[in-house]
Amino acid sequence: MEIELDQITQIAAMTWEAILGMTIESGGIAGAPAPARSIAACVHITGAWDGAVLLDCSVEVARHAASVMFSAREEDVSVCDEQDSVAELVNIIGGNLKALLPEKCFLSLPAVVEGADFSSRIPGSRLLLRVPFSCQGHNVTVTLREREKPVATAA
Amino acid sequence: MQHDINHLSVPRLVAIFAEAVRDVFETMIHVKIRFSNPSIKQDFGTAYKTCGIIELNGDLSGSVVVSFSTEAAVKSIECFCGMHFEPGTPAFTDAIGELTNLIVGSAKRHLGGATNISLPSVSVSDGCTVAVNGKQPCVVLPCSSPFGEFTIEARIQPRTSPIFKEQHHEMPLG
Repeated sequence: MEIELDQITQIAAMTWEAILGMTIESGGIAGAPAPARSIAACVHITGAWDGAVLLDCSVEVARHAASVMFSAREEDVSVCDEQDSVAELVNIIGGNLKALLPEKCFLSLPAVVEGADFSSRIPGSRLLLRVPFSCQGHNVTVTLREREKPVATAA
Repeated sequence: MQHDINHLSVPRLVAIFAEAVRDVFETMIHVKIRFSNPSIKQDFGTAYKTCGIIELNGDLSGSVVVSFSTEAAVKSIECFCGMHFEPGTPAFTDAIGELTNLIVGSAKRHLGGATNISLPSVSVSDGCTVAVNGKQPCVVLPCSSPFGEFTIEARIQPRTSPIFKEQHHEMPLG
């Protein structure tokens, strides 16, 4: 299965523009400090292709996204709103990536982890693409992971 | 014995996952599990911070979260793998993912229908919130082992349900 980096970048750019009315810059901001609190959202794709789409960003990005999506002031946005906004963004990105995959594939519900110090892994998967970009001075990463193929053993 | 997937009641879900947990823990970890009263999830986030999450897709759709207290996770993994792994290490998260996979895989046999299960997502932290979005009710089954507490959170529904159709919108761009 071949998904190109440009395709993910285009989907991410179109998502940010269509949903948040914002443009993104490819490549991310080198040397940027790690955010104090971050959010990682994930949707899984199963069926003809098995893998996951992840979206990582700072809580600031999530808060701004929530304020746009839910037409609220940033100071009124709750933790649930932040998580919902990132979940929705990864859902849209995942849904559009799914359209590039062989039929028939299913998209899962998004799962979100938010906090100051956590590790998040998808055991049994391998990294296909990691696409960093930035938006209004904050780094965002879209990652595509695929289920690892079992290693063939000699007869 | 499989049942009609369109009649996935809360008691049936509880029974299926209780059997799956018992099956995995008694077979693979050799400990007995006690269950407390199941409930419908009202609060936000998981009970504990070491979580394995598996999504289901197909005739049934939803998610299952197995969240462990740190103590339960560490000691269960030790017994499961025969060696100690520090929380947060790749080997530890792999083992949590595998345990989650076994529980959901065992439950899936009794859920019925043609359903795929995803790769597990595993998160480990003392200070984070884990949430799975979904509008359908989430059944919470508190479990207790000699190693500590853990919970099963299952939100599963048939693909034909109105809630599934409402929340699985995809917004094509361009």
